[in-house]
Amino acid sequence: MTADAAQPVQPTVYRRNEPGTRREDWCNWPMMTFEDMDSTLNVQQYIQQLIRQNASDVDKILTPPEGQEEGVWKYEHLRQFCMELNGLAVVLQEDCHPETCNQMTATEQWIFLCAAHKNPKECSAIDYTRHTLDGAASLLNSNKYFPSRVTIKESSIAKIGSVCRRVYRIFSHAYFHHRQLFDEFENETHLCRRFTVFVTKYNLMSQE
Amino acid sequence: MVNLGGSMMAEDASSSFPDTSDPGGNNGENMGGDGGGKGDDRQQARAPFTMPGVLHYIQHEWSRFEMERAQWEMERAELQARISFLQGERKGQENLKQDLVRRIKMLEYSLKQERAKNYRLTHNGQEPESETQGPDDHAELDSQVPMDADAVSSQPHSNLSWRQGRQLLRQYLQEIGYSETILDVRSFRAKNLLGLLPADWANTDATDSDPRAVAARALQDSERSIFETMAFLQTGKAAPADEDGSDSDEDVSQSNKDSRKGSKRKMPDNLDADTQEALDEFDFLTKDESGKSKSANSTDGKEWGVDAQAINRMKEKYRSEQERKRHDQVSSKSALNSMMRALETEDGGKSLSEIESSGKSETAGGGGSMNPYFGAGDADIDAALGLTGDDSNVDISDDFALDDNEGALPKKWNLKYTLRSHWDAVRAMQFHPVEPVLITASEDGTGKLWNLAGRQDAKSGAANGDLEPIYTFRGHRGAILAMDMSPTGDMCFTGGRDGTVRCWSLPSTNIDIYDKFDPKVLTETLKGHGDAVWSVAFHTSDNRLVSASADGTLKLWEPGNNNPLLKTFGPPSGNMIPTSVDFVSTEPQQLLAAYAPGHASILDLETGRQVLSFDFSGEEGASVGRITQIVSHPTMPVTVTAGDDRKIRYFDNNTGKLIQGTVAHVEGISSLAIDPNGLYLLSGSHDGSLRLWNMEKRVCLQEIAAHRKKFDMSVLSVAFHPSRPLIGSAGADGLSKVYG
Repeated sequence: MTADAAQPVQPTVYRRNEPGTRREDWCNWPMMTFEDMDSTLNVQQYIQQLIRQNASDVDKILTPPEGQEEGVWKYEHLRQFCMELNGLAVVLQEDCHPETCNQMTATEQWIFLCAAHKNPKECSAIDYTRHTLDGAASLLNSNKYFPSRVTIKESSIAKIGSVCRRVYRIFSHAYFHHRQLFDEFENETHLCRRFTVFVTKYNLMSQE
Repeated sequence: MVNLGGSMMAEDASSSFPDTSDPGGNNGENMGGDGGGKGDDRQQARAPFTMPGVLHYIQHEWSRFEMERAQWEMERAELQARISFLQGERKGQENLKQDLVRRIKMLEYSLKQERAKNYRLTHNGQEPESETQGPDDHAELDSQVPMDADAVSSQPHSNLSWRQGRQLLRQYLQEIGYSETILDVRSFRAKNLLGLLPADWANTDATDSDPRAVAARALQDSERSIFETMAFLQTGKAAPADEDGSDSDEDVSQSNKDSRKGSKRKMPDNLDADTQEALDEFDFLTKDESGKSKSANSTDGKEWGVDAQAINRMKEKYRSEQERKRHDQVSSKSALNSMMRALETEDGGKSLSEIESSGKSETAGGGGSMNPYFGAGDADIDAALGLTGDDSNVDISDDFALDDNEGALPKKWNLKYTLRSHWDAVRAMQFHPVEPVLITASEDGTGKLWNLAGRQDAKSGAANGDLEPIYTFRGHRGAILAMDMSPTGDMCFTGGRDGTVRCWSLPSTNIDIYDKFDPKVLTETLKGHGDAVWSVAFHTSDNRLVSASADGTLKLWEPGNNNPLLKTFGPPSGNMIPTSVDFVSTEPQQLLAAYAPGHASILDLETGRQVLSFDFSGEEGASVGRITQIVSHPTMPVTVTAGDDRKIRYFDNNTGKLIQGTVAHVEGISSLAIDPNGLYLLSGSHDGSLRLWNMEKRVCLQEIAAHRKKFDMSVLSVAFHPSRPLIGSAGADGLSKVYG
């Protein structure tokens, strides 16, 4: 226990957001390579690290690390989309009222029915948004369909596509009816652009 | 473990420096030396030492030794857990091996049947001439390992299937670790040993009653049986090339003739021969183990002796089984199955005692870290036994063992619900004061309301076995970091990275998550902080709320007031940042605040002045890390803090002095909760575990492995239900768990 016993003290980096961390220091730790991430949440860590590094570099964010299984990669990205979409929903809550947007529409062509209910019904746009995000949270966290975040069941991959379709309508509603909010949000997060590249890349939605 | 220990030691050494050298006023030249050097230094420095200085030094040394001892104790518990884990693994391997042996027998049996069928077909329904018994009687012999070697020569047609069967068996044996070279070596040794055979056959029957002799002979027997099997396999390979057959071939067929002679004798003898074969199969296992132990050069003969005895017992069992089978015509498969089961109970019983013995030392050391290992051990055994199917006995007996072990403790908490609906780390959780309802708040920017009693009516949740939230609180732009609930349970308050504190009125507990959006749920947004809000606390009897922010200030609010911000308290000095706040339960006008780095104090609510600063200096001076949570004892003037330095510290509110501070976790502690009666303390750490402590005795009652890591974060929040026997934890893996 004397000084001799003291091993060379390596400055251990703890990647933690401890209480009292300032906003600008949030997640402000040395980058980690994907190989060094030994956590079972490594894909989420990796994606969030890339986003924090540069949210506008959509291609880099969507490039899976070598050897990464595609199912998990898509799944974790979709989780991240739904999480960040919460930000858009929060903004919309203040501007998108049931009185003004009583139906979920993008263009005049379609009215979307809210699939969260036993019998799909015409929810107002903000309800549709909230229900869709809550429904996605239940589905993508479901122990039945997605019991693991390390491997994804083949049968559950199809669910990813249907969540994408519904989530995309939130973007389009915001784009067509709350353009200013959408633009502000998009400038900050580049979320819609990333999402569009994502669904195109992995062919998750049939029509535009 | 090694790493942790290392860093810890380093910390100790560096922090002990100033303390040891200061009182003497000496330079620390000799301090770098070993123990002897230290002693010299002490003698030299004795003259200038003052009495308090010496006392201080002794106290310091004592506390250091205590800490080291605790550390060692933890390490020991962990190693013991490792031992039992490995033992469990070994058992799994044994069982696997046994299963494979069983399969071999089954294959052999079917091969024989196939051969007989084939013969009948090719000989117009004649019974095979080499078989003295009909097909029905034949079933008795199914466990006979070596086939009648001369039967092959008399049936040239079935040669092909023979060879295939041999190949298959070869493969099986290779899978369990008999490589080519080993086969060769064994077959060579077999030749030397086979000469002993006849004597052994006679011996075994005569001395069955003497268990010790049997154990000793088990080795010989098993070796022989292996050699037989091996040689038998070798013939498969050698036969095509060498018409006459190798030496070993002849030997084997010789021995087989012997055994066949036995089987042609009267029934009782026949049974013995069968049994012998089957027993040899089991000895085969013992043999393999002893081979291992030899190669490992270990001397724990006692261990293997126990195993041999266990196998003897099984032999007896099998013998009686065989006896019965003769009368009842029970299929060999079920007999073997029941034997497997018997073996497993044996294992279970043994591991029970193991767990008990290691468990005792564990409770003494206060380290419950073995649980995760046990989980892993079970899982491994399960995996190993995946083929067997009837392995549940093992798990059950393990569980009982743990229960018995901790039976003296007040309550063992088990996981009841896993709440999975957050996208990212859950930062805070709190239970409703009365209802089985809780709120979780996450870095994904949402809070969720859960009704544990509403499980049945949850629309799709019941089908999935998942509990779904009943409401989602949306409002923060970015992560929610802190949350508190009003004592009546009708309001909750969240603090976020966006610097706001938001006040929510709780919706009815019967609400459906897919109901219409009601903007009135968010009753108020308290703006004023310039940086992330890391802690909020609501006063238990006053409509007042205090928040702590990374902007360095504490703010006192009165929600619902036209001008809700009542006061702002700056940091006690310079760049200090508040990390955690709570109200003092015994003094309603006082507030607890912890600051980074390493400061905690009691503040007066009215004046904002510091009433008292907790004294951390009793220990290693500046080494106090970041305090992550400060909580007030619900009934006594005691404050508890937890920090990055893995320590839980108890302070006296009247003097500010440290009552006790001990290392409580392997990694930094993130959260604390005290039960409403002040008897138990729950701590959550970035090592992924929760620990439940007896507040009075300050011993660990239970450890629960709770959450996975995201980066270096794991458990982020813990909670007691104020009126029901429920506890909860929330973690960086996005899960919340409720235990009952």
